[in-house]
Amino acid sequence: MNPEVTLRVNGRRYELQVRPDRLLLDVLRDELRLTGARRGCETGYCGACTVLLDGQAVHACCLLAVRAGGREIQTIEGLASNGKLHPLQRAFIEEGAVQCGYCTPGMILSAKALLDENPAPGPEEIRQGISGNLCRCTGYVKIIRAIQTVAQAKGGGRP
Amino acid sequence: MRAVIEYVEPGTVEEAVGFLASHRGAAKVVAGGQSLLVLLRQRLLEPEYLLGLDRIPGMRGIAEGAGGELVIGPLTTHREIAASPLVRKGWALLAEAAEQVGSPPVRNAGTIGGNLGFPMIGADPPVALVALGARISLAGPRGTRTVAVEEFYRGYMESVLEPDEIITQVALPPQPAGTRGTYLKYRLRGIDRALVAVAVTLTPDGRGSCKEIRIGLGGVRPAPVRALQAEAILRRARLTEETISRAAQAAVEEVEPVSDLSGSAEYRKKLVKVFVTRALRQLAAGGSGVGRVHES
Amino acid sequence: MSVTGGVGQRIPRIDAEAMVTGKVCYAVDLQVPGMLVGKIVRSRVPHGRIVRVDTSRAEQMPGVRAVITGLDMPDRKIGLALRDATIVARHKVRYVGEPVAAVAAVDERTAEEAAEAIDVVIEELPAVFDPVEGAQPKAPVIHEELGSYGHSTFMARHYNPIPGTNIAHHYWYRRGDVEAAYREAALVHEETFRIQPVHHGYMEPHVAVANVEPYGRVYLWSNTQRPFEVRKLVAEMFGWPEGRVRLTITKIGGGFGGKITPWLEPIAVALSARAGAPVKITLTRAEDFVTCRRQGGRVRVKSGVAQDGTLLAREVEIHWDSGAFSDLGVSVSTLAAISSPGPYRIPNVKVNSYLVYTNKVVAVPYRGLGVPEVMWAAESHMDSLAHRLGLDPIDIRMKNLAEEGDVAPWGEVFHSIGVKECLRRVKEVRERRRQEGDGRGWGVAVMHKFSTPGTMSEAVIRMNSDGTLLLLSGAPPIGQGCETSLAQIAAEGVGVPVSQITVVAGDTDATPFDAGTFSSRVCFHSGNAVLQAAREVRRRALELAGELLEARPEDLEIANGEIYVQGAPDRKTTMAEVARVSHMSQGAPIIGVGAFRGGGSFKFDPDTGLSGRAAAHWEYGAVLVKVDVDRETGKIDLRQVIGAHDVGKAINPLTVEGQIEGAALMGIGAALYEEMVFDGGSLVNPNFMDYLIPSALEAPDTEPILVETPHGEGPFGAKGIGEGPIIAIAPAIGNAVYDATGVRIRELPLTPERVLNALEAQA
Repeated sequence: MNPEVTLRVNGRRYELQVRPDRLLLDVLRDELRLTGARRGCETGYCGACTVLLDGQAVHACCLLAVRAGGREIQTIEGLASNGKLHPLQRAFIEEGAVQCGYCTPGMILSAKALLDENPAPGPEEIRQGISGNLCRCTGYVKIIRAIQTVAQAKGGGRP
Repeated sequence: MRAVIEYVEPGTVEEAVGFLASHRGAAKVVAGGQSLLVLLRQRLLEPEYLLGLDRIPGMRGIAEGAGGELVIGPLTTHREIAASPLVRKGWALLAEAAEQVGSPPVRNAGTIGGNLGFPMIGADPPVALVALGARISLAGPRGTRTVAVEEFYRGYMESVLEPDEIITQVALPPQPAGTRGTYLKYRLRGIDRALVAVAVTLTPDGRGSCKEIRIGLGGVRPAPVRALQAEAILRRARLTEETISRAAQAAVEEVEPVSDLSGSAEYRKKLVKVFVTRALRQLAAGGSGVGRVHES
Repeated sequence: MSVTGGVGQRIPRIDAEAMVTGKVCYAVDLQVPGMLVGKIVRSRVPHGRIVRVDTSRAEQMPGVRAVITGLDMPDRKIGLALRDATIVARHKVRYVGEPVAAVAAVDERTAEEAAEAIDVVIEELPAVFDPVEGAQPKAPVIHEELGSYGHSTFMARHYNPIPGTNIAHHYWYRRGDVEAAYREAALVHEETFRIQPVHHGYMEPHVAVANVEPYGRVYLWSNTQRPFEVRKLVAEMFGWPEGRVRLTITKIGGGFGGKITPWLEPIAVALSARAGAPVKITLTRAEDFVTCRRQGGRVRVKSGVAQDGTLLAREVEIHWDSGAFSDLGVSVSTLAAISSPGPYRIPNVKVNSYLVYTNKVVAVPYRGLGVPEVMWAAESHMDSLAHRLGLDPIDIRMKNLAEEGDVAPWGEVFHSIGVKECLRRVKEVRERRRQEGDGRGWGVAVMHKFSTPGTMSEAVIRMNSDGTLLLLSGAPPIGQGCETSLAQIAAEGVGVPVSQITVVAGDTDATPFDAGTFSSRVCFHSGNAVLQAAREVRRRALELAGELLEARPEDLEIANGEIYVQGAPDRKTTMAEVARVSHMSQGAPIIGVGAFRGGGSFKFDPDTGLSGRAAAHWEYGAVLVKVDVDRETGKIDLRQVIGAHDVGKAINPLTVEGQIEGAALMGIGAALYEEMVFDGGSLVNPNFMDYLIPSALEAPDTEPILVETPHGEGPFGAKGIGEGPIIAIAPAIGNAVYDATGVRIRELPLTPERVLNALEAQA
């Protein structure tokens, strides 16, 4: 008998029965059809699966779904509100920080967690903040710049 | 992966070890899951039961004990340790090592208990724990026991933790007044485990010599080790280029690294010498209080 | 007259909004009703004869719907150039990881268990892992049938295997007399370089979904870079007309050359045909690591130089580590060999290039197509020559670099060659920084990169009934942003804002033919085809507007969706009106068709091997890096990368910069961190924990410099930019390490341990 778990994702409640060894990533993708979190490496290095758990960036491929019960989960699908993009999403578009886009949702969520905690990070702090998200396309240059522009718009940021 | 039959969340330590004892080898404790779930996914482990400790009181958190010691619950995350004012105040070396673990998502989910329970070459916290004289409490069906962190490990991916035991706490003694420390980590990428890590705590005697010194080394299998010979050279001695050089050489002779993808045994030995020297030079130069971290 | 979002404008990607909201369908996301999960059983032996593949247990497992072995596949080998590859091994395995069987089941776990239940017995044969050893006459032979394989028509006159050996292809050329030149040279210097195997490391794994309708169509979805090539090879393998197969690409999570060969599609097809249901195969990261890689190998370079640094002669000998099959290696090993002396004036040249089979993961195209390997050697060597002659590394290059109209070492005439300007630009940076006190640790390298000759692109632009445009292109966007740059070219060509254009890419039913996304060819080739189609649409629209406005088409102008008479802006109509009339009144909808075939060919002089024109176009660039080296640990601290690249014309400077920055870090990965480590043919680090893709913490300050030397055949003068910026990175870093320490390292990657060993050997 699979345990019942209540997941709170992007402000919605989902009552699910999940196998005890199901990863949060698989439940998000297969059960909830939230495919913005992606499998990239299965070892906790690439970060394509990053979601926010109680506001903190975590790799959903290294988290049991049953242990995420009762906690606040945010995925990329929940970032824009009322059709209005989050400033990070806008900055990623405008600064050219998106290439193949596979890493982008995880990258943006890590950046959000960083800025929520440290609204005025310097470039090294940004590098550290997104070091759990690998990008093979951009060389991170424009990603770092996009995050800087949002930080600066918030009144901080040391370019 | 093979199906896990059940996820179990006992309410007490007794229940937990009772379950582990009655499902010999078929149950695995999941702490942060950062290593366990990867091994599960790769089928290197195929437990039938997963045991979560979240419901057991006291398993997560950082507190100061009655004797002034620092007590950390095994489910405490690296992030919590790195950010804790209490840890920063008296055991900053550990906070700085915790800050060097992997990347933010790994630090947000990974725990100190999981890090100890899945001994990986080049893990950060254990090296700092060695220098800080930490002791690990284990509970099992035969009762509880406490081991020094350097005695916790047996070899590659192996510790003294029995399959029916759980880690219940990590305790760090209060550091004597004036103790300074440093944690140096050398790695290939910024997100990798250490090729070599060096943690040193040094208590001056007030007359320019070391009263007490503890040196922990990581990345040198079996990991981590305490560099006892190097410590002996420096204890009651002054930190000079000469003593530092002798101590660094002694440290090299105390390690038996192996060659792996990250670097050869020979290279690791060279790194031990370089980083023990650098750590001691920093402390000789005064350092800046307990646990200044420095990366190569 | 500029259009909103037209050519040269720095506009955001037109598809970026879907990317940042996660609402994009990659191949991994694809769901087809009734879909089964496919899993592949792989060889654990590097070289051996298949004794038995026992599938009986797997076939009886509940939930298993299809099981196949190599004998269930059509007995036809395939390949991008040489037809030497079995997709599922039939009688022989040639590398660890080679598919030997496959299953389709109702879910992933059942499929995994069924795959494990298949019993494979292989009798091991002696194996060969090193290309230089593999080329020896007594090496174990990996392809006994070499010499009888079929091949693509493009290389018909050129293919040169040595049957009875592991040399799948030997290409050579000669110009002048190197021996005579050596006798006159002030310095003759020879060096040998090694290049490790590296993986593409795209973030999305390989995926293929197949749905075979028994009496109908065959539907394929995958994240391939070359949908028409894959369709052709699948149809060829199964003996179907190409039109039966429809391949639709999904959004693609990176490719870099690794997603060209149809390694999965035929397996998915065979499983689907047998199961009577759609089948999806998604590789795990570990499987992906044994599916493709870069060649690497060994390069020997020898030069004769005059005292003043003038290059008199150069010899290059290359052994490519092809792995178990040749894939596109015949083409890569030829064109990279052509490039191997560098973009210099060298009167005497001798080049030998051997494509050698080894019992390792198959080497495939990788960003740069072999040129990163040969330029690592040639540009490191160029610095060695400078130091031996006491010359500045930039000066010796300036002295020898070719200019417009010069004859290349391989025979063609240089055109649109902005390499000297690129070098001047990075030299300015170095001089300024040196004056500011940054004395040592500077390294420079130049590069050139061919775009594969003689490839074809077509494009169609259809005017919708509201006057907006549908741009149909067969070239898959793989992250580089071609959907945007092609839309910008279309916008400019027609005279409408880019917002009026919707791009449909890579659907073999819907879009016209395109050779695909590789070899920095899309902007140049597909761009030309799009421009032609756009001009046709414009011509038709103006003609029709002329009728409506009672004016001559040549007197009309299009601006942001409106068509007006020049000098009388109130005499105007709209694209929407033109569309309405063309569709509804005239029954002659406006459709523009364009086609472009790139110049050059695989034709070589039979006596000399020289080429009249080896490439559709060439990319040029120069890279400057600054390093500090920790002499105690050997660790290289890469402080800065400056990449000056001649793009002909930057269609979109924002995406061009993105290519330069991204390729630079990929080059840094291959130069400093990455290596596929094999032990007895088994890859020991098939994961991102042990295979070290750079994170943001390894990303240095990177500054792109755009140089624009127009190409006579490029759309608006544009050339490619996808590969060039990776090529000079490794030699620039190696040269900077020399500048900082005085040690020359000739083997990649430049790990700290390797650097330290070199420093200790020097001391």
